Amino acid sequence: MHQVTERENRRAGAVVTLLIGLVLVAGVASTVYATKRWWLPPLVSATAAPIDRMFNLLMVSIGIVFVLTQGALAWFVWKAARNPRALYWHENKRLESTWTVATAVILTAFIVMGYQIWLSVHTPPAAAAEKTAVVEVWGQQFYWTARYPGPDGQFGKTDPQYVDFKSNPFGIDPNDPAGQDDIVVDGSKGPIVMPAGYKVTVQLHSRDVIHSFFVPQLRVKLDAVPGQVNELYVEPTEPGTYEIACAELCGVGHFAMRGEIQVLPESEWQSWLAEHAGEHGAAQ
Amino acid sequence: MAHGGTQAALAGHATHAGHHHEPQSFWRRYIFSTDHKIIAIQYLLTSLVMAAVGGFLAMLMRVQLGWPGRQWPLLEALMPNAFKGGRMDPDFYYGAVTMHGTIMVFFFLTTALSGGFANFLIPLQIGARDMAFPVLNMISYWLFPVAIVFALASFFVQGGAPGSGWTAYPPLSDREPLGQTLWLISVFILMLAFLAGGINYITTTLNLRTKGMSMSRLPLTVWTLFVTALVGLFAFPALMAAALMLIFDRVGGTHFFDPAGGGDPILWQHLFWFFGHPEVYIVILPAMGIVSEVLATHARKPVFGYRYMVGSTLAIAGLSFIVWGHHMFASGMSPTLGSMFMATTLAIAIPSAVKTFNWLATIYRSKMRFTTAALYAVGFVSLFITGGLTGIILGNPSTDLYFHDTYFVVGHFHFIMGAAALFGVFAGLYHWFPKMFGRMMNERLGKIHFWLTFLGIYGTFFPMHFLGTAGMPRRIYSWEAYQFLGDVATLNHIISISAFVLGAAQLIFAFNLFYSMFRGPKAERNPWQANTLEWWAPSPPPHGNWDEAEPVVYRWPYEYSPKYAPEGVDHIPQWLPEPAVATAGRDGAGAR
Ligand code: HEM
Ligand SMILES: [Cu+2]
Ligand SMILES: [Cu+2]
Repeated sequence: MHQVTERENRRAGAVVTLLIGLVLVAGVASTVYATKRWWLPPLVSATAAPIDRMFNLLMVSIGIVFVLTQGALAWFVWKAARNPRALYWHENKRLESTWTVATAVILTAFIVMGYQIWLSVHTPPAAAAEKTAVVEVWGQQFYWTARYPGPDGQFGKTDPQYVDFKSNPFGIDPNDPAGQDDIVVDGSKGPIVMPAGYKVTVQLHSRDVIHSFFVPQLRVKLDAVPGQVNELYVEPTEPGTYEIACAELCGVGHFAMRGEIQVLPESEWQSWLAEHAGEHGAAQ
Repeated sequence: MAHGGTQAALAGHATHAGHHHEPQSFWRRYIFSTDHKIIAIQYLLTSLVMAAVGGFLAMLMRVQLGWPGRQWPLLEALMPNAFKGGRMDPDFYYGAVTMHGTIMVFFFLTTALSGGFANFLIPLQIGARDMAFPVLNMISYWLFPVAIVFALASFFVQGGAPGSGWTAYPPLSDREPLGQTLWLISVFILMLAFLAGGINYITTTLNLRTKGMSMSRLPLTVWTLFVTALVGLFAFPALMAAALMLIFDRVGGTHFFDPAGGGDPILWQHLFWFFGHPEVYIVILPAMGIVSEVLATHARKPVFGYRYMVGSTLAIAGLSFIVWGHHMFASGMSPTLGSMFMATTLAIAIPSAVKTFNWLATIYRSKMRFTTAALYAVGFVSLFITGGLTGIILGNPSTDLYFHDTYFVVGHFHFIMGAAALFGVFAGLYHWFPKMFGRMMNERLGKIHFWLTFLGIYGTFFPMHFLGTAGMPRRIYSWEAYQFLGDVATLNHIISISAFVLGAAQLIFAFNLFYSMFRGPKAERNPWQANTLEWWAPSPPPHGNWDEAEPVVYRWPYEYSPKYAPEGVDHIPQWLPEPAVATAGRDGAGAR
């Protein structure tokens, strides 16, 4: 049963070495090529620079481990097809504890670095910071809307009884003076606006199911969960228009829940605020 | 006929030789069987059929993602409801997404490994005659088709299969049509089946080990299957509770998860992932055990680091319960909590790395026989490395914020669950097929199957990481609207074509499986010259497993190529009392 000659077996081993070698070479080559074509979109956020650095560090580290381990695998397989007899060797306490500890040390270093970045992206802008802005973003099937406190910096009260999908979809209370200058933007008709060089707080809400606010170029992603408010902090640097995608399955229209963020230079941001103050409706 | 027991060894414990099994009707024997081996084969074949269904859905998804917007008149003719006007209906697409994930995770991988292999191997490898509770075992199997019927029925009810993904996050899953309720009932029944199975595996492993089979001599497959059953015992109830609560929300007017009634959608995520993360280890641990075993046997070399292998299995099992939050880094959790989950997640990478190093050390300076089973075991190591490494990027919450819910995650878990665990199943099938059916599989077809599958998997799942770095969200029916994605069309064509190659390669396997089952050359008792007890039983083993007495165990299962063995002898099976006996022939055959 199962009669295989030494030669056939050696050939079979060579094929496996070849396959793993191919994976190694093609894996590295395609990754290098992908950095030119399918990599992180250009970064336009000051807060996220350390994230990209961390990513590069991790990529290089796992790339090295990938090459070393797949290379070792290919090499051991090649030899295993040719060895006259297997080595009787099944324990080496020092070797085993060494690689366990070495892995632990490297991972601990990653934990410490990642921890600092993780905390930094969750730190709200200090109250004393000069240039801050707040925008309330709502996800719903299947588009984004946004509300700004307007020039007075205060959100007005809302109440479902005032909701009118044509003229006041947020239900801003007409009797609350703080709400008079609030600005509502319907993201399905035009972009949500943010000022460049400001520390922007995005307060995320959802009207129905869970959505996820994902702006690849700003490197932000956070779920919009009905019944709770999630906050993210971002500092856009480059004026321009960037796409928002929804990253959480939210129904059949999920794939089409595309929106846009327009980052304005500071001066245009001020005039935008003044110009649109008091627009509560869906009209743009 | 090769037979490893010596007269002396048999005489020593021929106490239970009167274990008779009356001739049974076809129904008792093959359908409502209480024999663990028949149940194992029932589980395996059913789960393979489900894999075919899940795979078919995947191919349909790749048709859509490779060429969104294209019309497919032929597919419309075949499936008019799914391809209205020649284009895939998005509703159908999301139903396919949900059912593909559910079928592959629950109905294929978990059942093949913890239903099929656990049933077949545990009694045979510990020297028992059957499971501790054979009738419960039969019930556990028969709950499985019931669960399948509920799940598949959702395709045919009003509104079709649920479109909320295998994770079924509410409130979306609150609003899905009837199919979602069927899905929840199905999952609940399946968890019951797994719990019944798990109780059997735990009791059997603890109580029915034959003489000499101490825990420190257990084959690594039994270790991993046993620990997996323990993990299931704690993980499944969380999902059962969540499923029940969601059923109540949907049909009973409660609001556990619906904020409109004071509920909390995040509660579902905690319950789901408290189950869900251990679940991914429920799938990979048995595959790790199988691979360790197959590698040692075909490399003719002892498993390296047996103690570390057992220790890392236990460590992974324990840690797997405190990492679930890494699936929720973007849910708005407190940063402090997130830091905890980051630390535990990266901690679980340590035992995973230890296992990888041990496999490499097992292959190092071995004398490998490149059977199909061995190829799959080696392929597993390569896939596990690739998939494990990307986990490091996801385990770092700062980088995960970008990659969460993109195709990078899809690439990561398909390498590990979709590919490595699949390779574990294949390694196990090719390895134990002779014992299961008493016949050999065709090695040439097996090798072609391996080459195509290995390349197909890398071609399909490796480029998904680039889709992820480009920012492509997962679970989208079409990527055409996004400009930031740039030129992902090329990647998606490559992926779809590789996926079709991968899918087609499985037809070779299906042919080989069924052809060899009936027509393959007859297998010896121990065709691979392995050391574990199942190879001492006839191929296939009769009801009751041991034609004479239960075997007695004298050593650990990995005594391959020992230094003291004489020329020409490269293994000393567990059941041989004296190494010297081995001199009488390759597996002691001459000693009789
Ligand atoms: C080196 C060890 C590993 C690390 C550090 C790791 C880390 C992670 C992290 C952080 C996520 C969540 C990513 C996200 O959704 O944003 C994830 C997802 C996932 N991992 Fe792993 N992982 C590892 C190994 C494994 C293993 C062994 C399996 C399975 C056998 C596995 C299966 C999965 C699955 C199924 C998901 C996605 C679930 C979903 O969202 O549908 N991972 N992994
Ligand atoms: Cu969405
Ligand atoms: Cu996990």
